Amino acid sequence: MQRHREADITDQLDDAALLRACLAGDQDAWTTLVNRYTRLVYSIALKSGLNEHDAGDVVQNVFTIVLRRLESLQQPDRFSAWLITTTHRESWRIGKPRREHLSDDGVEPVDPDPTAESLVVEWEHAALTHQALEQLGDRCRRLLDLLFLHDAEPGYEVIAAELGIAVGSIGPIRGRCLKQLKGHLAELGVVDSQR
Amino acid sequence: MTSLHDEPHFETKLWDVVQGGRDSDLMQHISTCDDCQEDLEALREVAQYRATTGGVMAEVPPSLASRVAGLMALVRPDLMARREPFAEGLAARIRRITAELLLDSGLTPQVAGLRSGGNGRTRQLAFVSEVADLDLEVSQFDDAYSVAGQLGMDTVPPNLQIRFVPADQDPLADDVAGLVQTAISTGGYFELTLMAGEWVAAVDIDEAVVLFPGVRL
Repeated sequence: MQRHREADITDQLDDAALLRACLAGDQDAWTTLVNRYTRLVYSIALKSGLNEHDAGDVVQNVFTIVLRRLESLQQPDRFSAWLITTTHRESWRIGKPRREHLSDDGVEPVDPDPTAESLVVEWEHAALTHQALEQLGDRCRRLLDLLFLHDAEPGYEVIAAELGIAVGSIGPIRGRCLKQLKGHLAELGVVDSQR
Repeated sequence: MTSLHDEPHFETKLWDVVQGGRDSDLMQHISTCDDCQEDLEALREVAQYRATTGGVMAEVPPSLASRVAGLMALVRPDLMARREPFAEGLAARIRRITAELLLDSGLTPQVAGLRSGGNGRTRQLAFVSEVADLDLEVSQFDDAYSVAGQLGMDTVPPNLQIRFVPADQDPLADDVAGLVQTAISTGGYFELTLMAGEWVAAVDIDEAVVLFPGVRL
């Protein structure tokens, strides 16, 4: 029980507190930081066009940079923004040989301007929305995924069969799920809670 | 009757609006439909999430997660060498706050006004502390006790639990035999059943544990 409580407390620490704990050599704090951000870093690397192997290299490199710069990280309360920027840079660097190869074939590489603030905002936003989606119950999460996030855009019959509900229930359930999602988004400060 | 908002495929129309569609009849409906506006707000975030991530944040292979978690020892052995057991230090810093038993109607039967129902088998206990107060109402049935309680705080945090630990055990220990615990509602209410004996109630609030000793049943 004691360890559960310690783990819970570590989970609740903000980034700046976790970074301080890492500086004190605490492995639990490092693991919490890694668990909090690995998925984000990996997703950014994949979205930048890298394959899984290269994206894995980006994740390892980025977190190695974090460890090496623990003492000099500016604005630890803006750690996620720094991490996103660093991930874009590292993804760009690791993808460079492949782009140069493509360039030899006549395809011009396009610099994604990895430091653009808009990218940071987009991914910070995405991470929070992901968190809000994760807080939904399984049925809501799956329904919203099938309705709005699934590339295949399955029909109502397929969705109903997949979730084990009647086709006529999809509309009302969808409404409740979106309401719950909005509540979670409001708790995370992504949308206004007043309306 | 099903409202337009609950109709099948209505989200397709809302999704079109999110993507920039401007069906005038639909916009007219949305302007008078609070549910639709709420849906739209959530859907805009979903659309942005999809545009940014492609629909999902990728699952990290467990082997990769494990490698990254192990980087600290490889990259910064200097930190590990001067390691302070942070979690242990944190545990040591967890404040123990012991509440004071203000009233036990079982011990002070003259406070007859606090007995409920007058059946003589319901007791009330009241604890006070700097962080939270606790009121317990204990009713005996057969050889067990039904305990209904309310934790009093300015704002009761969500997901709070109260645990009752036999008085001869450390309420902060890893493994406690005979532990009974339950969730506390946002109003501070809870109910559980205890066997006869002496108990200590404990609630973790922020980085403190508030102890309520002397629950003798």
